[in-house]
Amino acid sequence: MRLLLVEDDLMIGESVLDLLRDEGYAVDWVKNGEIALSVLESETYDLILLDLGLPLCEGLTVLKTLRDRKDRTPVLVATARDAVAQRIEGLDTGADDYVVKPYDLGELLARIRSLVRRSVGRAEPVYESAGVSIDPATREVKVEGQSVQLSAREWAILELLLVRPGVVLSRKQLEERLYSWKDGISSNAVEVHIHSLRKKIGTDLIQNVRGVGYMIGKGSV
Amino acid sequence: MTRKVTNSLRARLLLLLFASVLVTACIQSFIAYRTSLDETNEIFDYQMQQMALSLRPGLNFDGYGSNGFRQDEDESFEFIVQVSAANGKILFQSSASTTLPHREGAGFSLFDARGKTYKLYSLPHGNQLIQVAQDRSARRSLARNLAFRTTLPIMVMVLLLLFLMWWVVTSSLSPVNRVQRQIATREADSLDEVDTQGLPTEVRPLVEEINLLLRRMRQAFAAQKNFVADAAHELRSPLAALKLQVEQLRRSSTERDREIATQRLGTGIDRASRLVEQLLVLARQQANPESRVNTRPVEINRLCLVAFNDVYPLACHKNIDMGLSQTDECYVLGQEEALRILLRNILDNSIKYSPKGSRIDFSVQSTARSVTLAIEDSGPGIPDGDLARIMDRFYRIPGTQTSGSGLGLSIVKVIADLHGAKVEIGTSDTLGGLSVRVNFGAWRMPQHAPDQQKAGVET
Repeated sequence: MRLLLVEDDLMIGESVLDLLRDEGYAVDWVKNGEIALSVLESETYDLILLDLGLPLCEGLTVLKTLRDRKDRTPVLVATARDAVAQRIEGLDTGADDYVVKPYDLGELLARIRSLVRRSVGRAEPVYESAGVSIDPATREVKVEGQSVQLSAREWAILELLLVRPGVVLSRKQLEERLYSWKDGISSNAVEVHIHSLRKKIGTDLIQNVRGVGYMIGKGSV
Repeated sequence: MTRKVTNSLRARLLLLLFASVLVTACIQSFIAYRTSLDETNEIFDYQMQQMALSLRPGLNFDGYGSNGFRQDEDESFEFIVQVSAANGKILFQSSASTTLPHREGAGFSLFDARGKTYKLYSLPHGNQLIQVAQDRSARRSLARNLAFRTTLPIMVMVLLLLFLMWWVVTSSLSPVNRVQRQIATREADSLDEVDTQGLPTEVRPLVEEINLLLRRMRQAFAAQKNFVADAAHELRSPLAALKLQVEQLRRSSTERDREIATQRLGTGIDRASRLVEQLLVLARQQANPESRVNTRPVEINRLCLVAFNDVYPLACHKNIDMGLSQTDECYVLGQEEALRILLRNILDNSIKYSPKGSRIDFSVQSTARSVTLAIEDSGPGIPDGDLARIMDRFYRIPGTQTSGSGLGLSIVKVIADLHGAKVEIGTSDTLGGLSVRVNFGAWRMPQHAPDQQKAGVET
C-alpha cells in the first residue's frame, strides 16, 4: 500500500514517515500543498494523509482540487484545528475521515486500514480468498488455517493481490504500490518477492497471467 | 426611589415641567383674581357714584307722608339710598330699618349698622345730601365670585398643558426608549451595533460612541478568538510530534533506532518548551499593566552588549560572522527585563533564520532624540508579501523549514509598543537580507542628575 503524507511540520512528518514505513506502507512525504497537487497528477496512492494548515496551498484547496479532478483516492485529514465547523468543512470538501492532533498512532493506523478497506469496497476487516486469509490489523497470514511468516514486502504484495481478488495487477502497478521514492527498485525485485511468496503460501495461489501480471483467484483453487 | 426618579430624564423633565406650570398657574390665577377683584370694586364704586349722581335733579318731596318706601319690607336690598336736607332731616330713605349716618364731606366712607359693614358714598348737592350705601360683605362675595370665574379657564388650561407636556416629553424620549429596548432585548453576547436611525442629535453621539466601543470590542474578541484558535493549533503540533516520537521510541528495536528516536524526542521537548516559554513571555508582557508605569532609564547599549554575548555562541555554532558595528552610549526609559527579552528575540530570530556562513551586523545608534537598535543580516530576508503579517502571532513565512514558534517578532512588537517604540522591518541595504530597526525615544539625563538617579533607584 502506498501512502502520500502531506505535512509541513518537520518533526511530525519525520516520525509519521518512519512509523508508517515500519508498518510496511510505502510512504512519500511532501511538505506543501503545491507539490502535493503536482505529485498527485502523476502518481497513484492508496491513501492521502493530509494536514490542513499547509504553506503555499491550503490543505482544503488541495482536497478540493483533488476532488474536482475526480480523483477518488481516500483522504484522511490530520489537523490540529479541532473546531467543529472546520471538521464539517473538511468532510464536506471531500475528506473521508478526520483525526485531530495529537492523535494516537494506533488510531491513525486503524483509520488508514478502514479507509483502504472501504475504498476497495470491502467492509470485513479480514481479507480472505482461495484459502488464504490476511488480517491487516494484526498482520497475520493464514494458509488453510496455518500461520505463515512473511517479510514486509511479501506481505505488501499479498495484501495488494488479496484486496481485489480476480483483478490482475501488472508488475508496474505492483511496483508503484510497493515502493516510495526513496526505495531504489531493481529490475526484477517484484519477481523475486513473488517467488519467495509462492514458496511460503503455495505455488498455485498466485497466478501469473502471461504478458499482463499477477492475480489471486476469486474462489477456491 | 428618589434616586430612580431623579436619574430618569423623563421623570425629571415631567416633574420639573409640571412644577413650573403649577407655580406659574398659581401666580397667574392669583394676579387675575386680585385684578378682577379690584376692578369689580371699582365698578361697584362707580355704580354707587352713578346712582347718587342720577338722584341729583332732586326729588320733589312734598312732605313726610309721601315717603311710600318707608315700609318694613325687603331689608335685603343691596343698595340703600337716602336723601337728606342740610339740617339732617331725611327727605327720602329706601330702607326703613337702616338710617345712614349724616356725613357732610363728599366721597366714600364706611359705617356699621345691624351687624354689617356698609360702604357709603355721600354726594352733597345744593342743600341736600345724597347718600348711597352698599353691604360690603355682599359686595365682596359678588366681587369674589366674579374674580374666581376669571381664574377658571386658567385651571382648565393647566390641565390641558400638563397633558400636552406629558405627551411631548414621552414622544420626544421614545427613540431613547427604543434604543434601550434594543439593547435590553439583544443576546447577552451580541456585540452588534445599535441602530442610530431617527435618534435626536443630543443622544446620537452617545449611541455612536457606544457603537464605536462595540466595534472595538468586536475586533478585540475576534482577535482573541483567532489567538485561541492559533494557539490551539500551535500547541497541538508539538504535542502531536512528541506523541509520535514517544511511539517511535517505544517501537524501536535496535540501539540505533532508539538513539535516533531519543534524539528526536529531545528536540521535540525543546520545541514544546520554547513555545510555552514564548507564549508565557507574550502573555506576561501583554497583561502587565505595571510595565507602563514602572519604568526607569535603562542603559540600552550595555544591555545590547550583554544580549550580544548571550547569543554569540549560537552564531559561532552556525559559523555566522556576527559583529557589533556601533554602540553609542544612550538611555531609554523602560523596563530592563522587557528590553532584554526584546533584544534576545531580535538576535535569536536573526541567527535562527540566517543560513550558515552568513553575516549579521548589530548596532546601537543614538541621536539627540532617538535611539535605534538595528540588526541587518545577509540571510534570505522576508518577501514583500509577508512583511505586513510578519509580526502577527504565530505567523511564519510559508515553507519555512527552520522550526520556530512564530512568536518572536510578536513579542518584539508588544514590548516595543509598551515602550512607545517603533519596529521597522525591511530589506537591508548593506547586507541584502533582513533589516530590523527598533526606534526608541532617547532619554536624556536631566540637570540634577544625581538626585534623579537616586530617585530612579528608589522607585
